[in-house]
Amino acid sequence: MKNNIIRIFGKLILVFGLYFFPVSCDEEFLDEIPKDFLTPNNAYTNLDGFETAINGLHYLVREHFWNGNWKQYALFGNHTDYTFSYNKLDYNALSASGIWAGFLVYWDSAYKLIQNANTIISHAEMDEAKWNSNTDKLQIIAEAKFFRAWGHKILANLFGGVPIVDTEIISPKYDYVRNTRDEVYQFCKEDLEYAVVNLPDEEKSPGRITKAAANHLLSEINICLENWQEAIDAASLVIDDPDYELMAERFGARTDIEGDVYWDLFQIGNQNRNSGNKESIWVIQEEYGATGGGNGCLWEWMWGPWLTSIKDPDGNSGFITDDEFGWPIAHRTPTYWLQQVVWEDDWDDMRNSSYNIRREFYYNNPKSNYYGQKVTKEVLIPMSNNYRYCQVYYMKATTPWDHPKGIYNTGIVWKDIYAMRLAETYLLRAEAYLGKGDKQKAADDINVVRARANATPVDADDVDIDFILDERARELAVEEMRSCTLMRLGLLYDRVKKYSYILWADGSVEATKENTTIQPHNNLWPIPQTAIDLNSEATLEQNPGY
Amino acid sequence: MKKFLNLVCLLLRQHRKKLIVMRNTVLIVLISALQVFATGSYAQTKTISLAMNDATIREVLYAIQKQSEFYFLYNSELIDVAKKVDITIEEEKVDKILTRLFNKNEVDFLIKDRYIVLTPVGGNAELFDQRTVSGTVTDQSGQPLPGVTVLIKGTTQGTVTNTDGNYSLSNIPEDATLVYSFVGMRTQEVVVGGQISINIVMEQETIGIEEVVAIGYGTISKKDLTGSVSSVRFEDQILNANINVMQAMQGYLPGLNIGAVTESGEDPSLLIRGTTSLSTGQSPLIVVDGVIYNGSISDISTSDIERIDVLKDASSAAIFGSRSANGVIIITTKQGKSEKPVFDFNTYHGAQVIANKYNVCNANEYIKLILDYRSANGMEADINNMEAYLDPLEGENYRNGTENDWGELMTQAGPISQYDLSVSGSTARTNYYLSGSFTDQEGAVMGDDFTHTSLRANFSNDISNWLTIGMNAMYSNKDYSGVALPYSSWSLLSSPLGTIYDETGDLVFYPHNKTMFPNPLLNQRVKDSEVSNNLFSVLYADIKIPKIEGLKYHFDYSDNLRFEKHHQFWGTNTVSGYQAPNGHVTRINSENRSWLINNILSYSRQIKKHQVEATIVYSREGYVGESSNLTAKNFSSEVLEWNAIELAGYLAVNTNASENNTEAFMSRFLYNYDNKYYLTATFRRDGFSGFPAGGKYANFPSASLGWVISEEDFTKSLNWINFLKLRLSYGVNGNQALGAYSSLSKMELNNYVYDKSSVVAIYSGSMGNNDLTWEKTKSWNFGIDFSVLNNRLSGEINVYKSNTTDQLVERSLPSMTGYNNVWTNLGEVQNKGIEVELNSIILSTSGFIWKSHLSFSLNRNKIVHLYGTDTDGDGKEDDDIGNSWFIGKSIGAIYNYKTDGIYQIDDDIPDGFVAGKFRPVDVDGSGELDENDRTVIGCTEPNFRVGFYNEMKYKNISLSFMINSIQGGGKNNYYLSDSRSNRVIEHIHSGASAIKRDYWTLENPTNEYPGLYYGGEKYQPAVLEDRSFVRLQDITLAYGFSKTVLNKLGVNNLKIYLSGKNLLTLTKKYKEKVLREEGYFTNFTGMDPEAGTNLLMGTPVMRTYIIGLNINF
Repeated sequence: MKNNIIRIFGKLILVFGLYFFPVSCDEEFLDEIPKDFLTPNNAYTNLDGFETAINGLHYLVREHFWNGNWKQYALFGNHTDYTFSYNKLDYNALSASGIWAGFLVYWDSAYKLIQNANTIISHAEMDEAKWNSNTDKLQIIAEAKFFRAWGHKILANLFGGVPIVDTEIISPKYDYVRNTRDEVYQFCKEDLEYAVVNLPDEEKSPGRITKAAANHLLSEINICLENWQEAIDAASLVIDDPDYELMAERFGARTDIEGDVYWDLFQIGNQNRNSGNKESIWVIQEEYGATGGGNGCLWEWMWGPWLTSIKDPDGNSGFITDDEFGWPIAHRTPTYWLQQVVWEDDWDDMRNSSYNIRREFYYNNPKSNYYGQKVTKEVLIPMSNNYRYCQVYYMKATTPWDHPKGIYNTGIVWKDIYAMRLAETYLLRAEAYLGKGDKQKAADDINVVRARANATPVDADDVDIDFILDERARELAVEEMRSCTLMRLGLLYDRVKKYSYILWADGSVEATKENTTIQPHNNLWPIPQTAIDLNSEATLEQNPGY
Repeated sequence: MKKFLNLVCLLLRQHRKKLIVMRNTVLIVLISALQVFATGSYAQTKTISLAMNDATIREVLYAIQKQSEFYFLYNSELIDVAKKVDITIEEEKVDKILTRLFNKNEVDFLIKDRYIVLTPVGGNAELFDQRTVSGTVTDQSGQPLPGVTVLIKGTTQGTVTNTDGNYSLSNIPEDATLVYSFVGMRTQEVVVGGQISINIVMEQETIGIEEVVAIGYGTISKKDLTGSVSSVRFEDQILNANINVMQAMQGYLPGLNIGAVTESGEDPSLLIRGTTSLSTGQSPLIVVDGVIYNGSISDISTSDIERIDVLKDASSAAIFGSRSANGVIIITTKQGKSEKPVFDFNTYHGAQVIANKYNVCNANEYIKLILDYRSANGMEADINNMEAYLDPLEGENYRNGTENDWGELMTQAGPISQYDLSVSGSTARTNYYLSGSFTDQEGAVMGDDFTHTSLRANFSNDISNWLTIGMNAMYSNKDYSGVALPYSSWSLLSSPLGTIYDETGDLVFYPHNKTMFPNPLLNQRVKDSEVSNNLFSVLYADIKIPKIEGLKYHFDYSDNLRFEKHHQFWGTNTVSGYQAPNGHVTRINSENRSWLINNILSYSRQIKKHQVEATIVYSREGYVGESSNLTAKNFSSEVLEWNAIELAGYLAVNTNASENNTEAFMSRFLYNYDNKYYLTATFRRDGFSGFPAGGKYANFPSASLGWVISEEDFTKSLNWINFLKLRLSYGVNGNQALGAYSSLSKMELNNYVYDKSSVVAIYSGSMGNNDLTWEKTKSWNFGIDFSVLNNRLSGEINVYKSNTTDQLVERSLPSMTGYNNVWTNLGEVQNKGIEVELNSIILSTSGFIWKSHLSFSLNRNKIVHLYGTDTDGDGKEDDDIGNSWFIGKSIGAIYNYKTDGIYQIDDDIPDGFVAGKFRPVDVDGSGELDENDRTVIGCTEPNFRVGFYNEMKYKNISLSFMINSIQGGGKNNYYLSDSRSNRVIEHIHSGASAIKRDYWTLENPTNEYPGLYYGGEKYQPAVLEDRSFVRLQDITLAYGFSKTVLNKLGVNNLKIYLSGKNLLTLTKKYKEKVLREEGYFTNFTGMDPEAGTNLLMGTPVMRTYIIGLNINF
């Protein structure tokens, strides 16, 4: 019996031994080779690879800061002195996790950008990276450092002192602690000082980062640090550069249409420097219908009056969507201040021309009995929430006659977007001069900007930070990351209290919900609760008041 | 020698893939050279050697019985067993022996598993005695039952039925009682009295203790099982209105939780026992005809399925090692059964409607809602100025008194029909089953269409007495073409005052000028083709290895090819196509292939009372998949749709490819002593390419014990116990459900543009982890199987506890890392629970039978460990609030602010709140609300589940119904969902209609639904709702025509049936008698308590009514 069993198992072992034998030679059967994606190991090996990674930074910036959903557009000044939303932000309800936490996504977006910049910076120095020239390498690192600084700057503006992340994250980390706001700005400064040395003078391609862009940002960072002279020096490097000047004459693709030079600045195709525009410093790229051309920006949808809901005196639809105005729905409404007050001192300012700010509208629905007639206040007054129908239309938020065929009913605009423009560099330098106490120089800089708009020059005595903020509004409304500006200055609360009013169709004025609920602690946003909760190995302090 | 080995290694490396196949071929040849043979039923495999001279047939039969498990049944008065014969046989199957033993004109034999019935040819009762009783014994389906023993009670006198089920018994005393018995059937006794003809219908015993159960790489008799395996045989379930086989089992097996189906052709979710894993897949492994199946269950036609076995405990499932932590479902398809070809045709027709419609506002209610909303939010609310509050289009309809019911416009009574035809048979060498099936389903939501065509061929042939080869092949075509109207989304809530058509009769894009609410009916215009094709075949060979009795080799190779396409064209008459502009196409084609090779060597032997069975398996599995996704816009001509996208002005391409491989070695040892004491031990080693080097392999051992108490002498005297067994098992299972490439850092690919030039953009996608390894579940299972009271009541009880460690978790990362999450191993989750399955024959009188099947399961899970950190220094391990994971709490814990109602006017209302809004509770008593007031306020997992199946038969009529219930409650607040959230406001605010509800107003100070305030609350409490329900899931009434009718028609079986699904659902608050739709007494705010979908998310479940016909000839 026993023998039998031994014999049986002997045979079993023989058969299986033969069978399993090849397995030991066959380890690569379970090797894993990526088929349809790149990994950091094979992505950052030569200049081409690094260039695609830099493209990735540009992509992330556009997708996360300009082309996001409407909740994100809080960065561009909604709920500030610029606009209020028909959603009525109750600042009491702004919390780290509540319903308004939607725009806190900038926290995540900025850190994602920073991580990608860090990855480029660290891989550039690795052995796997084969460089043809040291210049290539330094330029790549410099552009990545520019974005790392830009990301940290936005975080520090909005949230105060945030954790500085200066290395590539390759394994999980849960113990972030906050740096001070000055430490963050200082870190940005160091990155930018590297960047201004190593970035090229000219864009490698339209939209790429140059020395001028880095100097512009360095100037702002130095303002944040109150290094006034360094801020002035950085801005001067751009202003004094003969390649950069404010556009004074009409230019670009649409000079055949009646308008002015300020209007030209915002026509499709006129933003990139290759259009002859010498004013632009950094332009976010959008191209309708092109691969990678982006999803467009919802500005038109947000900034214009809700025309399609305006009824004619018969109560019928007065407007249809068209190629001139697109489809605005007044998702946000300019404050009384931005509609009226800011222009009152000099109504003839070019930036307030009827090309640039539309204040009158004519029924365009052919089916309406009032086709072609002007919309009167009397018609608007009975309408509910009529501030959404009577608001002015900052035309830089749209592209009249340039909507891609058939898609003027999305509220999306497809033109390139200024991230930095020389006019702002002047205003930054003015701010630095003001900080330094040189009001005359500040006024001079402001007046360069005002002169282009044929506005009356400002007296040095009248220049203060509020005037600069007003001037920024006149020059940069819609484009500017207003929330960043006000929050870096700690003036969000003051300005909202002062300027956030609803203008009703009958001309009456009423404080917005933002105005009545904002408190001084709202000068910083709360740190997202998810970031605090997930940072399980250290405490990430919340901003006071939240 | 070493040199030689190196050379071989080199060769093998170079030709690895070819060799895998070649190697198997070589092995087959090798083993066949050693002479081998086949598995199959016992009679087909068991061979006998005899050498007897001058022996009586009785002695020969006795010798065969001794050598085997065969058991002969015959009436010695009819069969001449005293006849002397000489016989010499070497390794012959029993049928051969019997052919040689008897003259085929005299004796007929029938082999039924291990029982062999001998009957005289044309045996006729009248030949014997005058005092004779005769009759026919059939089973419940009317099929004649041969081999039934008929005994006169208290004597040894008796007979067995012949192949036609007929019997005849003579010399019967007048007061005799006849006892009819048959294996697997309930024994019946009949008092003869004056009867001379007694026809008997035998009923199956509810517990199929002799039933053969699939256990993975083999089968075993249920009584020999030491693990926890639940089984369903598909007989009557076929008559239910279920498209997907899993739906037919919903609630039937304790511990197998099958989700609700809400869309045509959808696969339900499957979960065995509790949630073991924090974030990886919970789906059990599906095995079809012995091989791992990666396709969709809905590809398999319900009518092709013979049985389903569910391996629930670790020791049973461990045989599938790496992927068994979520249990294993083994599907066995049909084989031929009788020599005579059997045709089976089943068809049903019916309709599907939505079981529970949304209760949305009509125009008047909408108007009132707007006014209430406006006054709540401090706006003018004057009904005389109503038009000012409405969109111009709405205003016109308001004036004209026109209104729409969008829900009505989007739904229908969707016709459904199914046809199944099969033919099967089993000849001396060949067994075959061929079938075709076609299903055509139109959803209750228009456009939710589905058709399914499937073909199957199961075929096996005994090539020789040592080799059987076979192939099971399936083709399935599923067509989901058509875009369902967006019933579930906000579109349903479009304003009732919206305008559907313009003057020309065209659908308008925006019925009330809101981009958020495009006309839902526009989806009818989308051209959509969504088809998946699935080819699945298993080729196998069974070889009996000679010389060593009981040693067998099984080889199978299976391939599963799936092709899917999804093409969509949005013309300029749709919003998306108009905006594109000029049309928009997405064209997705994907193809993937899984292959699997199993080599199974098994040995079984009985030595006296010792029964030993050993199995060794080596298998390899691979998956390759690829897809391409084309997007095109701006067509210069629309007529060619997606077929000529080169006409588009804009094209974007996205391609994907992936591959993974698995290797496994397994061994199993089964031992039993005297059918009393059982031992099973398995060991499996798995390798998976998806883990990083060093972590690719893992070992999964298991062991289990069984003790059949009812075989012990001391229980023999207890007549009421028919069967009693205790089982205990322990095992380790794995989970690799993270998929390929999860341990690697991945870059995302996209595009950017500089001016007009497109460029490629890459950025980080996911963080890699080089330390990833297997998730392991270690579990205990203790079970009792019993059958008592003359088998009237039987069932099993299982108690289990499992701990899953090294959880494969997609752990959320603080966003400062730049990543959202990372795959990692951490923590431990415990599941424990109890499952009860009871089968009983509640009533059994002549003509009327009532059988029931009850299943109950209760599972509790909790997180035992997470990261093992204690940063706050409170001496307890830290919870992970960010992921909502709490030590000691269920995985389904809901962490949020609590509410105890709504702020009323007289309350002390803090800043940021007003009367009519939810009142969050200051849980920590700090005097103010903050993040610390969030607590675990409930759990999404159920408390327990009950399924109750009943079957009643009276003569030709049978009624069966299934009641399914999932219950919440319990001290930890089980089975809640956040389906009552306050989205109603967002709808009104966006100018849409809303779900009707009893919201708070000054006049109606309710605590249930908040007032119509728009605007965020600083702290939004979760408003939880109990999902408990009881549902009449399936009900079927069938009529089977009687034998006399059938004989005239020449068919074996003919049934017509009526069946309904989801006819009635009761939820916890049914007492409030809110009748929403007929048969849907519920206050549940979400769509369906079982589907668990929140308000306006997901489609409701469908209610189905069908009428069907089943014919068998």
